[in-house]
Amino acid sequence: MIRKLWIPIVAMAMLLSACGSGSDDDQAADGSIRVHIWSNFVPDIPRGKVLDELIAEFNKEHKGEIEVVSDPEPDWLTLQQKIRSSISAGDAPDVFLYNFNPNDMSRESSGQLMDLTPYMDADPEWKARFKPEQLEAIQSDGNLGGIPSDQSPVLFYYHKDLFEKAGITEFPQTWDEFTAAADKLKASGVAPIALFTGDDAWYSMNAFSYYAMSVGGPDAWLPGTDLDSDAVVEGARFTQKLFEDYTTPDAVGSNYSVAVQNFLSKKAAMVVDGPWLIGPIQEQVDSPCDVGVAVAPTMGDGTVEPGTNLTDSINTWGVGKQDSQEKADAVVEWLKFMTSQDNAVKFSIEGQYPQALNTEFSDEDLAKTSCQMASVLEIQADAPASVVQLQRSITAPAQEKVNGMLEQLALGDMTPEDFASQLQAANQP
Amino acid sequence: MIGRLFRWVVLIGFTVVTIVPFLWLVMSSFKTNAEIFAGPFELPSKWSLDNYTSALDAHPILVFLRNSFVIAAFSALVTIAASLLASYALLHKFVLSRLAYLYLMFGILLPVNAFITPIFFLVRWSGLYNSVWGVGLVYAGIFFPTGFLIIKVYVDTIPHELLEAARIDGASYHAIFRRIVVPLSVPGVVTAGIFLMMLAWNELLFASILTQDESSQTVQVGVRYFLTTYAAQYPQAFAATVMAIVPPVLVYVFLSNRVIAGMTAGSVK
Repeated sequence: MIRKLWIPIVAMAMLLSACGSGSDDDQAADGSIRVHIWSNFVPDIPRGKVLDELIAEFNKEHKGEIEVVSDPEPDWLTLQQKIRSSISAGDAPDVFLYNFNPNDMSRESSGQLMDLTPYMDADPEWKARFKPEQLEAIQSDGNLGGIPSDQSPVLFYYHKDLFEKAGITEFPQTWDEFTAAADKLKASGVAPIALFTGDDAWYSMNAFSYYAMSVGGPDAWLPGTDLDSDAVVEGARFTQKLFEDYTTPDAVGSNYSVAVQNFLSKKAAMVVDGPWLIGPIQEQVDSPCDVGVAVAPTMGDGTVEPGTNLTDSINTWGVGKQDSQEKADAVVEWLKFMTSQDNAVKFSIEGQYPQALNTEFSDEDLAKTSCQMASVLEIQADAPASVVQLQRSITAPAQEKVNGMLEQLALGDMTPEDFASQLQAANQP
Repeated sequence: MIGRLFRWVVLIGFTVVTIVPFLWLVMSSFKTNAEIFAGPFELPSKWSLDNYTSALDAHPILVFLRNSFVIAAFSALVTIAASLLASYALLHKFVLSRLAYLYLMFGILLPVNAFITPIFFLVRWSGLYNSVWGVGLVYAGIFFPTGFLIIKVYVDTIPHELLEAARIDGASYHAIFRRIVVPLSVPGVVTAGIFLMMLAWNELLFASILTQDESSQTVQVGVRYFLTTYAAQYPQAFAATVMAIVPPVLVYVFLSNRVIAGMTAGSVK
């Protein structure tokens, strides 16, 4: 009887196997060169939808020559692990998305990336699409192993109706005003700000970084700077207070998904996030334009110029070294297509994904965009300076340690002073 | 009386801890995103299959389920075949047989996650990246010690007299393996098979790392499409999760005696 049971299982496995495997070959069935893109742009999110549309358009234009394939991985950390493993295995992906970190140049210095410099030199028009300082920033030993993808501005998103209900007429300009507003919001029965400590504690680290920058200025965590500083201590003290008094009860231990839902469902009035939040706002908030976007408060003492904003790290489209010139040309052809003026506008407006490019937006373009994206573009254009958020600027060991430290800080098991000294100890090259 | 009460308290407590999350998951798979967050423990306003249909429309869940099944069955078969052969060999005493046994069991102590990069390299080098066979072979390797442990316990219970009688009757080592050892080990093989398939079905890390597109991804990987870095579609994710856990739950319901036998194998002789 048991033997009989195994026979159909084996037979079914053999039968199903015929269509159970994929491939990662370099050539499509029609002989065209296949270019694989590794990103977290799944088709379920606006930027993923736009990417798929652009790929379809590109493939149509290059039928029989080039076929671009998107291989999205929903989880960012898994994506990064895959990329590292692939590079370690000596077979870097054709095009892949990663966080550029000046303290971790392992990918850039692997020798596995293509050098795009000759392509840029040969096409000044394409080179002019990028900000020179960003191209310079992602170079390693003169090699340009990729192109900047985006440097998302990190801004305050807030429910205007909850602010009005609490008697707050405008977004706070200073941290004192912020605290006063938070007290009013709390009194009106809503958590002032959504935070979390799981994953990369993104929201919490954003709030922390903004406050620390207000105290220590835009250079407060430049590489080589001692992090056992007043800026970090005060940032930690402020964050501790946010956890104690101004956030949702589930903040400690929860992750991005929980915190973002707390904001979208109006359990929390504010959040500090990137423009990818705009898609969910459009889909889940009843009156999306009731969500405002604002730059962070400052101390009002001139340490930081008002309007200065934090950004995520420079996300970069890394480009793997190719054996054939034909394939290398095909990869560059795709990159040029993706970063063209028209497609950059499409990515920004339909994909809620402003690329790190010199992009012109017409009034007609801006009229088509969401309330939040219009504000983001405006704030970004007016920002006197942009600073990469602290967590994205420290060494990998410090990045790994900071989440646990933040949790201890939130639970009151660590003092702000200890936080600063331990962060400094972990942030060694 | 107090002892009986205590037993009931423990039983009810254990049932609540194990059943409630499952029921919550099933219930939430019928809710909207807003309902999940507004009243996590309230019943859905309407019992509709919308989340299930939209999950099936958004991603090929049935393909994911098929891949999970193929990988689980293939890895279990490879592990069982290798475990039977190794267990039979170890029924005999030979030079370094003790060391061979320790070597085969050594893998159970290894933190396999630490070998992601070399495993990735090997799979890619062998051309099995983004293929159900690549994942299946890796599972066969990492779950081998578990399968071997279960099967060896059964093989060890075969009386030596039986093997000796077969030898006297002129049976070769291979014939003894085919006609005596394998048939008598079938209960252990079935138990190990169920156990190994469930392990493979639920594994996520290697399935994520070693596959790249929907044609080869497993259902555990597929569920994460609804929980991305930038957005979370909990209702669809829960619906997909329910679909993902139905097969192992059914296996457990109908074959629980075999699973328990595997867990307790060798405890009483």
